[in-house]
This record gives sequence, structure tokens and C-alpha cells, in this order.
Amino acid sequence: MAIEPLKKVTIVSTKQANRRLIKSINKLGVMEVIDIQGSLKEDLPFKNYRANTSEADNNINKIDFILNLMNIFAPEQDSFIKSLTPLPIVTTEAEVDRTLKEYNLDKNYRYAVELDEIYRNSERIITEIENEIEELKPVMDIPVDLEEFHSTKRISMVIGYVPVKNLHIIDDTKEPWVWAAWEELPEVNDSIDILKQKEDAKVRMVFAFLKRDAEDIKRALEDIGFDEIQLPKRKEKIKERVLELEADMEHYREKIADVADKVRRMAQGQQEGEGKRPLLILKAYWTNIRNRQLAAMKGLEGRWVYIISGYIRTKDVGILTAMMEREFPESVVTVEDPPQDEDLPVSISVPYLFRPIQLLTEMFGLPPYRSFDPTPFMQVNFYMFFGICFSDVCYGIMLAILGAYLNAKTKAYRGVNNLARILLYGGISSIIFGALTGSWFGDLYKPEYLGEGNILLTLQQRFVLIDPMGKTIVALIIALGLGVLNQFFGITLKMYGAYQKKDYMGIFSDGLCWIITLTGLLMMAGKVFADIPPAILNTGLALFVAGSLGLIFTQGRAIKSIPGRIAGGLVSLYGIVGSYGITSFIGDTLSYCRLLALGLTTSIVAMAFNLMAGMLKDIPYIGFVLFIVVLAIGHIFNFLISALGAFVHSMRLIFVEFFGRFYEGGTRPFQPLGFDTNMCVIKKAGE
Amino acid sequence: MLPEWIELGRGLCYGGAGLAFGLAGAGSAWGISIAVHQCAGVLREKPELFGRMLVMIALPGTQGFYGFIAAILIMTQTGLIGGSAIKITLGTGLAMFFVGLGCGIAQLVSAIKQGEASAAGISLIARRPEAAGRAILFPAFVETYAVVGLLATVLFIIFLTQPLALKFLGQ
Repeated sequence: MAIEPLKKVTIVSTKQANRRLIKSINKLGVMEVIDIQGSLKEDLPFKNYRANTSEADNNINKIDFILNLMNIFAPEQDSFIKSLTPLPIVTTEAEVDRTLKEYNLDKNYRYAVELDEIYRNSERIITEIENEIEELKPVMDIPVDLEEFHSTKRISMVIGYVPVKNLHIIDDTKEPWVWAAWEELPEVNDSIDILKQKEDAKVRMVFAFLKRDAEDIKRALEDIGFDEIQLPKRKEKIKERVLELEADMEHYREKIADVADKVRRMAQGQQEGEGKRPLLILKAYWTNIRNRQLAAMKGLEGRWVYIISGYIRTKDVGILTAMMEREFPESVVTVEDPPQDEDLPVSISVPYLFRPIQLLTEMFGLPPYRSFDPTPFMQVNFYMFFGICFSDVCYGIMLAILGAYLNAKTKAYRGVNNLARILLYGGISSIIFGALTGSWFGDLYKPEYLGEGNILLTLQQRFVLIDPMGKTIVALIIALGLGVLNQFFGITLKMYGAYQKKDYMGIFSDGLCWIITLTGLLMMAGKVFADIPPAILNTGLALFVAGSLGLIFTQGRAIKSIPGRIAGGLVSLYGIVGSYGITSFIGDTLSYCRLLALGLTTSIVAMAFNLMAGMLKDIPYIGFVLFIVVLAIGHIFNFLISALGAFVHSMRLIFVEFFGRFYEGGTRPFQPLGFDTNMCVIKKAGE
Repeated sequence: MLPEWIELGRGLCYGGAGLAFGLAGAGSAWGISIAVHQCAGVLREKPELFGRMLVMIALPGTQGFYGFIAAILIMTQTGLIGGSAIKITLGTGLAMFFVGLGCGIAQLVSAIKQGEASAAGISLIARRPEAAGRAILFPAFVETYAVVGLLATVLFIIFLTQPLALKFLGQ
């Protein structure tokens, strides 16, 4: 339940053995390989090992190609859990070997390329056909043979639109119109008729003229706003051509449907060797090979030796050295404590029961190697906050059942399983706090809903300790009290961190002084709410003054000049600089009032739904059914929205108000070189 | 006290209740639509993120409920629903009206702003899906003030309808 100690390992082996060495380390999956170039003296005759990743890259590209094609025609239907977080494929070494042997990647790739080519070609041709049909549409109703239209020797003909308002300009007695002949081509299409009535209406006309007059006529046509329709250079009749094109398009559509069918068949199945599974496994395999090559490149080689270095968890040192002795007896393995100034990765290990909350630590960022893991210290408070925010016995039972179900379903997937168990434990906590605050589906226990002496009422009366609606102020003070306790807990942890670093001044100044000052402040604050004995008030005052003096003289200890140090201390006491101060204490404490607010929200919304359902109950015949339906819908809705609110706000109380006191995250996680990724994991023996 | 004054007081009370849930509901709708716009853009490229996005969209929806709670509480505490109606003076009515208005404004603005914060979180998730947990925190910071607003409203409603407060406000 802590940060796992790491050792630094350096392995010197023969140059010939380097590939075998990396392979063995990869198979073991316990060592993170680091680049050692920088840590050696510059004049040593070593250079970085050069490995080739092109085979792996090539295969990964092929796999991605097939998967992409599958995704076009057979997109993944994700389950709800999967849409929340990606689940890795769980496989075995034997399956990986079998897949590697039996799945013919090249053949499948060629097949996929072939299908992809047909698909893309067909798509392209369909687009071309569509464009041509679009082009032909305006002249589709012209009964002229295009061959006749284009094959005249001396005459030119143009078809196009002329704005109706310019028609009067065309005068057959004036030049150049005397040299031309024209005719209106009425449209069959209705929409054009509508155009005619408008101001910018146009009519379709054909003009014929001698080729030698073309220039003059075209200029005149331009002047009257003639809009020429470009006719295709085809020989058939237009209508026939369109029919032909449509038949072609149908043919290509069928081709695409055929490809889709074939790809869907390829993507079908979840079992070994079926659908996407072998591809995903192979992808994991080749990604691993690639990572292996990249890791090998972090090592150095000389004329005879190959050196590789990295970190390993202390508990795994035995496994590594045993393997090295067995497989590489000629090599030298040095295991040492990692140097103080090195930027170490972090791996935390938590016992099974406490593991779910690790999710929050990972979300916020892992602790630095030389500090402590906060996971064990947020077990009680997180679940308690969640329970108070969600406080309802029946909702708690629902959540616990949901969590238990998800837990059973997701055993193999660590990340989701943690979330499932947070829900389970959070549900149990809600049951406890729901019983204490007397909320059972809100106030469904009331006689007007379920009759006199119903079981919920009996249970409610048996366990209820405080009704937050009736005694709001007491409940508020309890919520704030929890906030104060949690902050003191945070300060204590800060002292623990300082103790670990042997920073005794830090323990005194950043921990003890704050606790004394704030305790004094709280004792004095009691005066505002109630009459307290003067002894307590005076003790409070004394504590406050003593603690404050301690803070004023020590908080600015980083500043050199004495007046500056005192000024720094004063400002820090108030809370402008530094991570803490009386103002932040007050602000953070008040922030815990959300515990009460969210707890009230859950029960008041539930009550409102009960009220609505209760009004329907008295309707004859269908009343009872409506009562049940409204209750079910209302409570499921409130369950979801309140659970979300409870989770988010307890998380916030932990991250901001609690972590803010002592914790700094953001260290890189320890990533041993191995097969397992978030895409695919190998099932170990005994799991 | 004149009966009309009592009627006026009661009317103001329910006016406040209406403003509380009306403004809050409007804010939630507005906030959610801001988040949804952002989400729709992301889902076009990455439909697999739907599950994570859903949570971000739902977050600005809570303000509507906070307003609803305030309104229901005003109705139950003044005896409109399921109780004996208490006498409400003009003073109490005015106080309730402004409590409802204040609650409504806090919920309205915080819901819209929370929608914007959600949208920012959504674009973070789109680029780095593993940061979903952290992105949920952004809107939660905004919601703090909706929660505090609700708590103050609840306290006000409960205490304004205690006999002491009723007497103090002219019963």
C-alpha cells in the first residue's frame, strides 16, 4: 500500500545476444528500459544500437488498413461499459502463437486491398455518373439527336437561357440578329414555369447562325445575358444516354453492396480466429515487437558488448536475475539504488480492497517517487462524502447492486473494475448515511403513499438519527465539521510528508503551527454561535496567538532579510501567498456545505416525485398503475442525476480541498517493457 | 392585517417560486445546448466517445433541479402543497420573492457558464480521451456556486417560514 521501491538495473551482455536479451526482458514484462546515452562519459566508444522497425510498422499498417475497411462497413457496436472506457482484449500466449501461425495477414491484406479498390473505384465512377446526369438534366427533354447537333458543317447552334426581360432586344430587323434564326424550347419541367413569372425569369432558346457570323452573334448574345448550356459531345440521344448512365450507376451500387457484404462477413464473430479479434491480437503483437525494437535502441553497443539499463520494482529483482543467470550466464547484471537526482517513474500498489480509489490518484496524477501514496488516506473520506451526498437507502441498494453486477462482469479489466467497485462501496456508504438521515426513496415510507405501518416506515423510524430537513442547521454544522476534520487530516499528512523528507522545520511550521492556530480560531468562533465558558475562549485565544506567532516567524523562512521574513509570514497567515492561509481554511471549510446541499437535493427531488405520483394514486382504476410508473421513471431519473452529482462533488472535495493541503501529483507512471497494453492483455496463469 | 395584504404576500411567494425554477430551467436548457453543440462536433469524428460525452452534457442540467427544489420547498413550506396554509404577510412574501429571484439568477448564470466549461472539457476529451476524469472537474468548479446558491435558498425558505420569522415580518 504504497509507492513500490525501484532499483536501477544495468545489464552488460555480449553484442551477439542483444536481440535475445531484449526479447527475454520483454517477455518478463518487469523492467522499464531507459536511454542511457546521457549518463555515460562522452569519450567512451559506445554508440546507440540501431534496430529496424520497418517490418513491424509495415504489418501494423496492413492491419490498420483491414481494420479501417471493416470500420467503414461494419462499425463496432459498443456496449455501454465500452463506450465509457476502452476495454482491452484478453488473450493467452497460446492464442497469440496460433493467430500468428494461422492468420494469413498478407492474403487478407491483399483481399482487403482488392475490395477497397473495387469500393473506391465504384464510388468514384458513381460520382462521375452523378455529375454527368446533373449536367444532362437541363437538356434531357430535347428530342434532338446530339450527333445532328454537333455534325453541322457551316452552321453553329447554341442552346441556353435568355432572361425574359431582354427578349425585346432580339429584333429580326436589326443587325446582327438578321443573320441568325432562333426558336424557343419550352420546358417540360414545371419549376421553370414558376421562374417565368418572376422578374428574373428565363426562357430556354436555341440559336442557329453561320459559323462565320459566330463572333458577332455571340457578342450580341452576351449582351442580352445569354446563359449557354454546354452540351456533351455525344452521339446518342440524351434521354437514352441518361437511362444508360442510370443502369451503370445501379451496377456500381450493387458492386459496393457486394463489397460491404464481403467485408461484413470478414468482420463477423467474436471467437478466436473470427472477425476483428485476430487482427487486434496481431496488432498488439506487432506493436509489442516495435516497442521492443525501440527499447533496444535505447541501449548502447561497443565493439563486443551491449549495455542496457532501466528501472525495476525491487520485488521483481529476483525474477530478473534468475532469468539472466539461466539464459545469459555470460552477462553482468548490476542492481543498485536509483540515484537521488534522477527523475524516477512511479508504480503504486494497493491491496485489493482499497484498490478502486487508486483510480482517483491516477486521474489526479501519481505522487513523486520520494513521497507517499495518498490512496490509503482517502478510503474513508471519499466513500463517506459520496454516501452523504447520495444519502438514500433505496438508491444505495440500487447502486450497490449495479456496482456488484458490473464488478462481476468486468473482473478482467482493471480500470473499469475499479469504477464498478467504487459504485459498489459508494452504494453501501449511501445505505448507511441514507438510514441515518432517514431517506428511503425520499419520503416514500410516509403512510399516505404506502399505508399505515408499512415496512419502510418501520425501518425508517428504527435507524433515523437526524432529519436534515428538520434540523438543517445541525446538519450544516456536521457537514462543516467534517470539512474541518478532513482539513486537519490533510495538514497531518503534510506533516507526514515533511517527516519523510526529514524537513523538521516543515513539520513545525506547515503543520503544527497551522493546527494550533486553526484550533484556537475554531474555539473562538464558537462564541459567535453560543455562549461558551470564558475558559475555552481564553484558551482559544492563547492557542491562536501562539500558533500565529509561530507562523509569522517561520512561514517566510525562504526570505533572507528579517523584516521580509516577518512580512512574508504575515501575508502567508492571511493566505495570499503559499498554498494555505486562514482565508483558504475558511473557504475550504465552507465548501463542504455541498455535502448537505447535495444530500438534500437527492431527498427533495425524490420527495417531489413521490408527491406527483401520490396525486395520481387516487384516480380510479388506473391510478395505482400511474403511481407506480411515475415513481419508477422519477426515481430512476433522480438516481442517475444524483449519483453523478455525488460522484463529481466528492471527487472535487478530495482533489481540491483535501489534496490541496498536502499533495502534488503528476509523476510519470512506471511502464515496464512488455506485451500488455490498454488494447490487449495476456491472461496470466491462475487469473 | 388586511386580508388583501395576505393575498399579496402569498402571490409574491409563488411568483418567487416561479422565478426560481423558471430561470434555473432556462439556464440549464441553455447550458446543455452549449455543451451539446460542442459534443455534436466531436461525435462526428469520434462516435466512440459518446459515453464519456454524455456525462459532460448532463452536468449543466442540475441547476434546473436546484430551481425545482427551491420552488417545491416554497410550496410545501407555505402550505400550498400537503399542509395547512400559513398566513403570509407582505414582508414574508417580498422576502420569498427575492429569495426565489436570487436563486433563479444564480442558477441561470451558473448553468450557462457551466455549459461553457463543459464545452471546454468536451474539446479536451476529444483530443485526450484519457483526460475524461479531469475534464469533469472543470464544470464542477462552476457548479459550486449553484450548490451554495441552493443551500442559501433552502435555509432562507425554511427559516422564513418559522413562527419567529413570520412574527418578525409583521404577522
